[in-house]
Amino acid sequence: MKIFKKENEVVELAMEYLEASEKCVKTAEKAVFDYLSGDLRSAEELQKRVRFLESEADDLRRSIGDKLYSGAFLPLMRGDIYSLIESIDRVPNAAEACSTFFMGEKPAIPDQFKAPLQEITAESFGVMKELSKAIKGFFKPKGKTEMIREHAKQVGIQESVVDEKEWNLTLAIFGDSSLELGAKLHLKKALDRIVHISDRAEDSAEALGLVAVKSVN
Amino acid sequence: MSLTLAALVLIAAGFYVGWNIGANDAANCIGTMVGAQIISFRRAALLMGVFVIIGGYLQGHHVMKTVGKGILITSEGQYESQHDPAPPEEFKEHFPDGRLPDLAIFVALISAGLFVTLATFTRIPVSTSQAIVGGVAGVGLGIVGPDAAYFDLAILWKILACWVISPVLSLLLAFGVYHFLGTISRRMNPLVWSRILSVLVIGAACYVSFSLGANDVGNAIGPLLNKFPEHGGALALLGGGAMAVGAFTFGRRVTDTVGKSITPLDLGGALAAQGSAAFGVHLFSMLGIPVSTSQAVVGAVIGVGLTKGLQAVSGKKIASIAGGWVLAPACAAGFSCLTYRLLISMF
Repeated sequence: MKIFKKENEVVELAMEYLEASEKCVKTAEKAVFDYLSGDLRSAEELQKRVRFLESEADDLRRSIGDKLYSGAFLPLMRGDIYSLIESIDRVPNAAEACSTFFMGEKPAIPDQFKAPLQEITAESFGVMKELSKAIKGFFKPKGKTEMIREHAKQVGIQESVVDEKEWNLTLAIFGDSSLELGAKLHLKKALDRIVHISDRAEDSAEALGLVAVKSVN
Repeated sequence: MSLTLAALVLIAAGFYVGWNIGANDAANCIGTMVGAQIISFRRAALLMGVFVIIGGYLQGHHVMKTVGKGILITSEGQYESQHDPAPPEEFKEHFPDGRLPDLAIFVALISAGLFVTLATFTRIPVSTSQAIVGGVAGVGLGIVGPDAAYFDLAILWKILACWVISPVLSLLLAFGVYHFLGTISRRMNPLVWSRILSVLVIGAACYVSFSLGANDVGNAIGPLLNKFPEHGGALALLGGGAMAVGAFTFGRRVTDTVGKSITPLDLGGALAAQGSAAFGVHLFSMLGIPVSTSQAVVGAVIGVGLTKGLQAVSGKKIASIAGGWVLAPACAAGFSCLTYRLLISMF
């Protein structure tokens, strides 16, 4: 409808932004995975792509802000929508920071921790998939409030699983007598970088749940 | 129609009351959509003006007739139909032309207008409808003294009952509508719902404006119907126009205040409150009963609040409604009665 032209443009931009963010997180996941598998060359190539995608997502986020404040949606909602986009943006940011950490600091990964770290990487980065469903539900006309909240809740559940695995892995790292304290701390830092993605995704899902409820009340 | 100075003064007095109503009640009509920045104050006031005039012109005559001719018995025919005996001898002295004297019309209008202006400046929430009914009854007392035979008590009791029923009806309606909106909203996309709400809020604002015109045009210029009984349509346009001017010139401050205090309810709540109040006021307009738009809106806001529990309802708001039922008509009646007596003794 022509009267909602600006709103529709915001929704289109938000979908493009979400796609760029998803690609960024997925590419960063692959980069970390390749690093943990020892394929440093592929990881470095993917890292460059992550930076590009993150920058593309940033440009789209700024365009959404411009479009929103040029008069799309009610002023009461503009701030909420932009805050939501900013909170989503912390997920690709965290993904980029994670892959940059691995490529920049190149932490040594002992063989016994490779598989658990790969597993937690898949879990933590994988939370983005559920978050995307919730966000698409918010921006697409067919998405119902209850469905959005259900996906947002699912993000929280997955994040709790990641937290539990993180705790077990932390105990395993610091309980490993074959490693020096420096190596343990570096491994823990790598672990923190990985789980940071699911933490940010959970924050974003909570913000989304609130905006969705606020919008229909 | 050739206008004498007296007629011009009366028209100016009617315009003043209409201006007062427009300035005060602009907030009830457009406060929410201006507060939520759906449209600018200027556009909202223009929209309000158009719908107030339409409401006044199409349906203002019901209330106009009640306020102008229904409260006081000013013609012999009316008196005979109400009472068995013929009117007393002094009837002709009180109402020589079979209608309210010009001075009485002027005093009723000015008393109600001044009382509302005074109340607005001292931030006391009063109803123009109640003030004008009080004003007309007050001049009646000034003319005939405390003689119940000159008053149509059935109409007065009906008006008093409707003042209580109106906010209660709006409260119940708003409670139901808000629940209904909540049920729909949960099945909809939040962004789509917010777009629908913004359109509905504009529609509700137009409906409140229409209802305000239908009800309050009668209050603004009802007494003038005594002077110009053949020109009801023109009077309705005058009243609607005066209210539109009032909204434009003095409505902004009140609109800002109400807009910022009502919108925190949320748009759905504001829509339920406005739509319900508009329906209530419209209904009473059709019945020819002058009721308060402000009290209907406050009643509806309480209804929305009640959906969140009893603790969400402000005792102050309920007290302001209850106080208004007594204070506004009593003060306006006392003021107009004394003013009329004073002016009669002076001239």
